[in-house]
Amino acid sequence: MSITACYQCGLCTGICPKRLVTRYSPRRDLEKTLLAQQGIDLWSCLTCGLCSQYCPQGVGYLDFMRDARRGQKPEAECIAHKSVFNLVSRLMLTFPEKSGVPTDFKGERDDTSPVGYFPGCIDFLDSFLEVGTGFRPIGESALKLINAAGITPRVMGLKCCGHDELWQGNQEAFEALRRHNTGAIQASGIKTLVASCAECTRTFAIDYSLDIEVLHISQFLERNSGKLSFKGEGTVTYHDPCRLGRHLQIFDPPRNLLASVKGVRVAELANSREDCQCCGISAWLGCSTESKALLVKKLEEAEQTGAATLLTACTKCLAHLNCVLNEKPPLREFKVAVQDITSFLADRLA
Amino acid sequence: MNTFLVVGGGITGMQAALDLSRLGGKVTLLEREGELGGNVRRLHKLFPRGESAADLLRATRALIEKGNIEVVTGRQIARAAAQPSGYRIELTGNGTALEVRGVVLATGFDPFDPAVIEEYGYGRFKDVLTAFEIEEMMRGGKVLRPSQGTAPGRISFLQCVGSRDRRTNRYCSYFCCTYAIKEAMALKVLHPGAEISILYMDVRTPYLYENLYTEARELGIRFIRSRVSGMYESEGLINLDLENTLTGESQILQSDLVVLAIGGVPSAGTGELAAQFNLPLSDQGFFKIDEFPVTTAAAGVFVAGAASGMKDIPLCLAEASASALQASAFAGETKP
Repeated sequence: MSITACYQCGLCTGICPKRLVTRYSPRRDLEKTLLAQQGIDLWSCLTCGLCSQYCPQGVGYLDFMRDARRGQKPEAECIAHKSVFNLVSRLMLTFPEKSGVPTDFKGERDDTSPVGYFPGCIDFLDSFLEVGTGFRPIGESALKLINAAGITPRVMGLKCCGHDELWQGNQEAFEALRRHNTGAIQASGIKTLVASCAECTRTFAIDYSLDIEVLHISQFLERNSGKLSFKGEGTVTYHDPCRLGRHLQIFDPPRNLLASVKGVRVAELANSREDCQCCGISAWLGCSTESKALLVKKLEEAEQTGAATLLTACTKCLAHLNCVLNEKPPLREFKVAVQDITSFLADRLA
Repeated sequence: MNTFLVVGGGITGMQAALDLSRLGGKVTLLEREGELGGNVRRLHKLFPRGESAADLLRATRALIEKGNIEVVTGRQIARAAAQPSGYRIELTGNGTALEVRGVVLATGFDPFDPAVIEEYGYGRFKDVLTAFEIEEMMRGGKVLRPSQGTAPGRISFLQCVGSRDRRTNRYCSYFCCTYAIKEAMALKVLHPGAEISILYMDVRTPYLYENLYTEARELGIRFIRSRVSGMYESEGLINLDLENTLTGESQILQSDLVVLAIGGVPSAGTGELAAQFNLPLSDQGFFKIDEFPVTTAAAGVFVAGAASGMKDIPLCLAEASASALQASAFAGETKP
């Protein structure tokens, strides 16, 4: 529903995770927008989609926020890591023929396969982040899992999907990335595009207009699970990334895969599935003490399940949560590790 | 003499049967439960005048006994066949068949079941009750916290539960604001020291119910513009998460008794009845009115009261009388 349906009940602000730590009020900003007033807070929203899910009028706050940000620019200090990831994606546009994400992962591949796997920006995360976890293993794990399922994919050297540019309001950069990637995907002739990152999956599935199937790796593996068998031990819990869960309604495939790992128990977070709380940051916007408070809250929620490992399916959640775990000096001793579900599964192939 | 069937023996059906009888008809009043009275049986005192619901039912029943009305309880319609002169109706159970000229459907509503809204904790927290349960407690003369049996000190009413929400029902249930204010005022009498809050989106107290709203404010009942986003129990209290949308402040409102002002939904069986009489339903699942206020698309079938959408008792009674007049006119008994 368009925002004009808003009747100012305030449920959105009541339920907003950002409101727990700031004065952010989605309701107030909707009212200001409806009255054509200036001064709405464009950059606090995590775009997690929790408010829209519960909005009695079904106001599409995500679409509102995406459109409101279009053509606007956040303050430089608002963007974490000195905007280096924006530089990466824009450099890809500056050198259109020579740039793309690295694809040199070990594994069987076939450049005529109808299935394309896109690893996303993991190598660049490795280059610029020191958060105590590596990201390249996600790509290697994905290829290993797809191979184990009996499928030989091609690895797509696309450019950045443009997720962060889109949600930072840089429509121009996003459109350029989308144009380039759409052309490359069409030229490749693949029928299925598989991504191991929740943000890439959402962006290709919703924000591009591709006429091929876009799947998160958990969906792809669940669908091709005949040859897959996993073995492990201990208890894990799973965090639904906003992009995968509420944005794409992909809740069961990761859980079904985890349930198939013999010897591993899966405990649910107190707030899971549709109610899962955002990790605390999106699109590199607003890394702050406030977002850290949300990250710590998430880790505490994971600890309360008794799980040794909190799994996620989003490289950003993975980065942010590990950043808190590895803060120097340590905030405190956390009893939980955070790992990507793709790496976790690949390590437990029987 | 023309014969009529009134389906539903709540206050609306009782009034319709009474008026049809007064207009000269012979009436069968059909109630699927064991006794007449419907939802009003659960109520304590009625707005706006504060008369006793039990007294109203008693007085109406006494009039029905004097009228030309056959009351059939514990049965429903098994089959309805349109005929040139009306309907042939077969009842469940003993297979009784009736030939009637006109039919009034007064099947009312069912209270909304708030357990489907998980975040409200109905069924999980003992001290979260529906307004209908509060009415029943009031009939017994005491409203205490179910968890402890003690007097409530902080009572919060949540408005629009099951109403004005795309996840449940989009419509306004019409009566909840006024009954919540009525109950809040009665609770203020029972527990003068209690802090009572009504958490509302818009207060809808049409026409002179506005007086009740003003009286409630004068009594010190607080109105907090909000829609509760979550509820949790801590140290024996229910904590309500909300944004006061007028101040813009977030608030955790501690309450020891939470009253859910539930709306209404079409009564169970509305769809089957509609099929039996070949009647369309509205998007909300109530009987669809063809010509305001009580005439349907099926000749000789009229709908009164909450069966065509949520209403309060005075409106239901007005529609009951309107449907009796329309049905009589249709049957040639009288000219409207």
